[in-house]
Amino acid sequence: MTYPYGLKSNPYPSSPTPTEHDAKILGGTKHQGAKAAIMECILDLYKKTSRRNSTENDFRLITVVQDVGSGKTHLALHIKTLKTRQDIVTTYVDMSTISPRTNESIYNAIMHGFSKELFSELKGKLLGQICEKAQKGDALAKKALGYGFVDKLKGVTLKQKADDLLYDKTHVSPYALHDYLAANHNQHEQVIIRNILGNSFDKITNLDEIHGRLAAMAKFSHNLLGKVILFEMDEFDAQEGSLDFVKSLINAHIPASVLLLITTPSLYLDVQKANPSVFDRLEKANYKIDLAGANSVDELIEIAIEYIRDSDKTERFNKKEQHDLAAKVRVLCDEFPEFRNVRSIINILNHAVEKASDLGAQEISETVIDETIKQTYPGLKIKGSIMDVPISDFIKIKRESGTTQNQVREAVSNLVNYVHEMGNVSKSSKPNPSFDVVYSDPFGTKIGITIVMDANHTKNFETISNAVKSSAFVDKLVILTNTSIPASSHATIVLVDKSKVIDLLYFNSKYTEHKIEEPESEKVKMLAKTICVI
Amino acid sequence: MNSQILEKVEASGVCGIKKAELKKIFGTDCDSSLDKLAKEEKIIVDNKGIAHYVWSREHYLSHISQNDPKFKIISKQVQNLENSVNQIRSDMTKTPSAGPNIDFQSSFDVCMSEHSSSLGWVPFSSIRQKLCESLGVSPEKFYSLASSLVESNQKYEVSTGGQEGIHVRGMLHGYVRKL
Repeated sequence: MTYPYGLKSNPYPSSPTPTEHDAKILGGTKHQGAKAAIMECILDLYKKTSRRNSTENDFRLITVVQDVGSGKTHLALHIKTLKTRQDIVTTYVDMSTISPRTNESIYNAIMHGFSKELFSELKGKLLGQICEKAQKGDALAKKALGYGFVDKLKGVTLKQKADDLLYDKTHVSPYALHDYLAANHNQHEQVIIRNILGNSFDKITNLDEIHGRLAAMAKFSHNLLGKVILFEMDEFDAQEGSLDFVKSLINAHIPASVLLLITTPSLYLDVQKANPSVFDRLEKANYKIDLAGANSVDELIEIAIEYIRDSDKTERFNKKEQHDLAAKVRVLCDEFPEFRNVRSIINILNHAVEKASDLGAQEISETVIDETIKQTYPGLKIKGSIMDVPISDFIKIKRESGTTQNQVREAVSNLVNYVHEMGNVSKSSKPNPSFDVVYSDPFGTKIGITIVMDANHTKNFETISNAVKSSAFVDKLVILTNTSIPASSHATIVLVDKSKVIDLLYFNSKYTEHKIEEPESEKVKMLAKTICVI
Repeated sequence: MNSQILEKVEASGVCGIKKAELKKIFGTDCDSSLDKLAKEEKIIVDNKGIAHYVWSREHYLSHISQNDPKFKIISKQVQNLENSVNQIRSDMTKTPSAGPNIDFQSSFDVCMSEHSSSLGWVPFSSIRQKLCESLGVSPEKFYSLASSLVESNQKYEVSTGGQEGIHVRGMLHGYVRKL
């Protein structure tokens, strides 16, 4: 199967919410900026704690507040999956998947949010630590490893015993471990070590245990692995369970850890109403990541391009093709608010790439987009269009329309030609320099049309004022303009908005190519009526 | 007698009726009735040629519009003025013209800066309450203006949620902020 731009697979994810795999690519200036800010916070904390024991001052709070579909979860998962940075361990918790929202259920979700590799790494380090002590003659450490007289006779080394435990060839005896842990660690650390070595987690019964165990996790990650912990809590809301848990976690100041809360503006303001105390803490966050403009057209274009660029191994997706795709995405976003959102634009591009592959297209062409929209958004139409302009033509017209005034002039002239051919009006064979088009209606009324469509509205006022002075030469003067002016007794003013321009330009291209068929004839007449030609 | 005289005058149409003729029909006593009707502006007495004629108010207007060139010009100008006012009025109710739009946008911005939270988000409901009161617009009109303002201007950002707001992608967006 071939994909456009010489791609081997579809670079755009298709799931309604991002997965860790999808989140490996992060595009867009705003999103990259947000990532940089979060990484700066982590790096700063890492630097401060790398050469000393961490304290309760080594806790940071970050909030990410933005609307649904703007890429917050994507950002959080992207940071979780970063392989290049070795100084963080991340646990990602989706609060919306936890019910009922109790301290225990949230704690369990946090522990499950850590990767298996982290626990394997910690297990190795902890056993290494015990082994080291045992080698120095610590009897409790030897006992913890289950090293006895028989092992000594057999010539089994302490390192071998530790390795057997590490690779689960033998299991740690809780009784043997108890004395060693009691002599070297506090009660919460003891539980965590037992859990790590035993590959299972004890239930918690109170808040103190939660904070103690999370602090133990943070301490081991920091002291043994040299990493700070990042707690990512997505879909944070104003439910009592969430608020109580987060408040306690902020108050606990888990050393060498960062709490990243992800929510929407609506839920953020709900927190303000539900629990001012938590809200006040959030307002004082060390970093408030604002993804302002995350759904802006420029950002969406950058994200759209980044996906292809990342997958493009042949470098076929060159500057020109990037520019072309950017222009198409811009037209889509400008016209349809439906697509002005990271999730929506990624979704439509995922379908477009598949459609391009089906059609054998080498790029995401206008036709591909048209077919994709027909299939995935069948109800989507150009707003206000009388001519039912297909989206592919709409994108072409929007991209190519430069000097609109001249194009509209030509289109209106051809529209009068068309209604003349249809027998609705009689076009004058002699052009009149005062007007763009002159013709007569069936009752003999002489009508002159002047088109005033400059981008400079002040200039348009002047042109209209001059045009009105010529009204005496015809029985009726029609002025087509993009400038909003009051009605005049001397002329009929027709405001030509964006959709009328598109209709006119679409008609003109069909007319010049002699492609207007019978069913469209009625639409053309309707168009002529709306701009007062007939 | 007054109603009979009025009926006769109205029946005479744009041409009017000679005062002398009315006296013939209703007797010379009808003078006082004619005076009373003239005072009430139900009839107009004016000269046509050398004779006194009587018209109803509406018919007199038609009479002078047809026969008095000065009145004809002024009447046409007033009519044009009336048409223009009506056109502006209907434009304002259908699609707001540039003037009121600019007013709306500046009021919207001011209101947003007054109600803004630390992140800049403001519930549409707060702005709606204030602007509907100060600009005298209905909630429907407010949301129609707000919707076109936000849609046409990428400086505004909307967010889902809330109890009221504008609909984008089929979702209720109850919060707005300016970038």
